Amino acid sequence: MAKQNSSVKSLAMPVVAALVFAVLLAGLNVGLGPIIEENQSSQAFGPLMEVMPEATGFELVEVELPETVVGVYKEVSGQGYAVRCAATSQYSEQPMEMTIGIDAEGKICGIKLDVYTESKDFGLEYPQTYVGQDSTLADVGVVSGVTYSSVAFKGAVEDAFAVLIENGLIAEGVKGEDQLLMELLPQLHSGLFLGTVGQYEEMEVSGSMVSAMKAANGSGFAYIMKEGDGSYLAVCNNFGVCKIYDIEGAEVTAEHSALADEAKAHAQSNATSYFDAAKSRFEAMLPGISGVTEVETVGVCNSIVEAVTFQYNGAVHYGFYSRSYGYANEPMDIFIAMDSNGAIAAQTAKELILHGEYFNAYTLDEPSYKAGFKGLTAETWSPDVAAISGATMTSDAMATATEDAFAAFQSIQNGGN
Amino acid sequence: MTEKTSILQKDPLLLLLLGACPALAATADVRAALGMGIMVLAVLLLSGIIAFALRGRLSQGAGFATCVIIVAGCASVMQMLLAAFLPAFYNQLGIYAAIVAVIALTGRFAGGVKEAESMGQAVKTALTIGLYLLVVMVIVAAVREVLGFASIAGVSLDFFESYKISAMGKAPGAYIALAMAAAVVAACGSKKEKEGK
Repeated sequence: MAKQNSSVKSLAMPVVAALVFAVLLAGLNVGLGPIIEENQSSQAFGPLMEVMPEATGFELVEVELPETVVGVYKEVSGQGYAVRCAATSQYSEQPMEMTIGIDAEGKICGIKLDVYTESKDFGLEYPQTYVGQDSTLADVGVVSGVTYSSVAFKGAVEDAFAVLIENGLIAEGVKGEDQLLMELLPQLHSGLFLGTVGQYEEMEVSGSMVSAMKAANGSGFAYIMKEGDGSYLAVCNNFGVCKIYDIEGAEVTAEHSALADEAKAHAQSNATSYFDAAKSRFEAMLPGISGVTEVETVGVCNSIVEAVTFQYNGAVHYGFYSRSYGYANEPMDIFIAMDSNGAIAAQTAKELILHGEYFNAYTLDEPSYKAGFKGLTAETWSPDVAAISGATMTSDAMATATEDAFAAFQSIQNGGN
Repeated sequence: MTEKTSILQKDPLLLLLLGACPALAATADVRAALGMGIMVLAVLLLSGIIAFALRGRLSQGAGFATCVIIVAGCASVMQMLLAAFLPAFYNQLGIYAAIVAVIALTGRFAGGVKEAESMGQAVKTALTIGLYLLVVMVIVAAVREVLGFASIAGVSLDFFESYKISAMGKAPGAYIALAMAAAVVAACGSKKEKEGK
């Protein structure tokens, strides 16, 4: 009996201690629970508060998310939404994390680059250019020098808007005519773009022009122009050929010839001549050529800045000078000679590997690489011929130049159309 | 006290294993080690006072279990107070806050606070054990952070940047630093023992 009492006493102490602490912790939980919850909430939503400082709280919105969107949070008093995104730039694969505050009217009220180590200055000013923008992102672009970073950033913001719009959380912004015309431009004049990233400088406008752009590689011009109540896009190549398009993308040059003439005059007065450079390069490429003359009946708008015709081995040949964009978005100088059947007779580049001083360990058998193009026509050509291992941008530039040269040749054959 | 608990309390290997786990986690950064050390010190002090107040009853059969409950309870109370009033500090400790009880228990059973003869002695013993743990953890963390991350308390040390040993920032580094600390302590103990003889 005494032993039994001793066992009960032994058990009583830990049980009492456990009960006392249970009551103490329960009491603390009642008193401190709300404070702890508030602390945890402000920690979890801290980045969200930074882009929406007036917010009273957030709750997670359960929606299907694209790869770049980490989470969508609704501000509980109806001020809008905060979206957390994560992307990587194609160039470096460095993680890029950002938080975007979008108000109830669908405009960005705050934006912050939370994590990105690639370019320290990138996160200071560029994200702030998005504040006040709606889903059209009409007034933001990409930044030269950090092109890949800004493209990735913009893409993530677009994805954030897309999630909110697709789920009916905000209204879609309405694109202006100028923006719609600018979206047509990459298809209408590829010389002003590398992919979807503009490669041009803004010019001073005059007359009917709202904006004027000159291709960074000298391949032509683009203008947003006004006539009556309508806005139009004029694209001109470096041969003085200008075409007018409406916001549907339809060519309306004949109906708006005055705009075409105005654009053509502006383009011709600002064009750069590449004839001398082309002539001397083709003379060096194909010794014995004669009668080098400029061809003006090139109707396409692409990377071709000069076209010439000449006699070689007693037959008519054509020469095309392309300045497609290569490494670091810099224009390459690529020269392609074709016979009268459109088959490549010779091909070369002024500098095949740009910045060769940095890539001096690069080994490329240039003569055999160039020989690979010989005899190819638009029908037999394949971009694989232009591929250089480990030099993707140069390969792309060579492929673009070759395809643009075939297109220019075809245009000449069609009388400039 | 049973034979089993006696073995548990005196087996240095078991104590080392119990102490090594939190040391791996909390000693990669001096700030985390310092925070952890202070929290352990507070838990030891609080549990030491409670254990002394209950000293008569703790000598009965379930004393060990009661001590575990007291230490774990004190650690939980500390965690809640930190989470409520020092959230930044609590967040800095992160998952380490949950292992405070393990370190405190290791320290308690190594030091034997329960056998204190007065409240003053109980407090003194708890402070001694707690400070000892704190100092060892901070030293180990400092060695690991300097050698493994070329920084101290998060401040970069440019000189060490070229001599970083990344393994020191990881689990093997914790064992190496612990072994170094143990060797120093053993050497000091051995010297004192010889002087005593």
